[in-house]
Amino acid sequence: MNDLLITGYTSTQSADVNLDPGIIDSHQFSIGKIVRSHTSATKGFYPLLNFHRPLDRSFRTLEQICQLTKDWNGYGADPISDGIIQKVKAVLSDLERQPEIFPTARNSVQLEYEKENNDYLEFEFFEDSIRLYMETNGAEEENQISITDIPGKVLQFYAGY
Amino acid sequence: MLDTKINDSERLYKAIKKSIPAQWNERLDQPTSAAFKDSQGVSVDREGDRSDGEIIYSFKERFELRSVISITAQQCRDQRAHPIAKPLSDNTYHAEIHRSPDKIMLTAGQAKRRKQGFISWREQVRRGL
Repeated sequence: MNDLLITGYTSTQSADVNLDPGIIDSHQFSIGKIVRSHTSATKGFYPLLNFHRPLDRSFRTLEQICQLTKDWNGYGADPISDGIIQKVKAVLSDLERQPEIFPTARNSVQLEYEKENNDYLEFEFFEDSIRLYMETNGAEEENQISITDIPGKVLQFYAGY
Repeated sequence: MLDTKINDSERLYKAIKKSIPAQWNERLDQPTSAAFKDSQGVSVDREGDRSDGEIIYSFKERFELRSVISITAQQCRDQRAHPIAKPLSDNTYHAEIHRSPDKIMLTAGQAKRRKQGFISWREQVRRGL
């Protein structure tokens, strides 16, 4: 079932259809949800996925973060806690656009969005909280956010309201 | 022996390593602010009496580099961050940037703005790699 869905999506891309990235992300969003529902019993990441697609690239980055060992930054950083990895993993499939994903040396994972006009949205996942930082039109916002509010915040950010 | 007081005009250099996953946003061709989020403070090297080339060479001896970025102590202080000398036994030029005199970790805003500050010198430094 997963193979059929993934193949269908890939053939659309290979036909050189000039799709807006937002449309592609939207397809990715739907497929991601379906794939997730069919692989929910799998503890690890998704071996059948294609790393050329945004969601799959996100999973690959997260897997790399998962493999970081003590002193990964050369200045004594600890590995990223599994609880944080699982929280990030859970939210990725619900995002219509995939973020850039980076580990930090304070046991957190950072999801970043940045527009051409330098508007910026960031979610930093800690063990016990998620912090939002946003810069739009030169104004800053920084506060705590619930994991369930993140997909909506991303939509708002790109909708410009 | 370096003075423990860091003058406003002194530059602070940070090595961005060629690690996996990277601390460099390849799509935007700039460092991620995540590189400046460290529970021990942001690890940097002071300029001291050295040239860009000497500083880059000293980093290259220790790390595989993606880039070297820098900021002045004044730019740090303009963001209300606090650069402090933290010499190590094998690196007298070592320093850290803290949120304030009594807190270590930068805020998200400081890290992001810091990133923009570093960017202003990135290309000049990268040419030496």
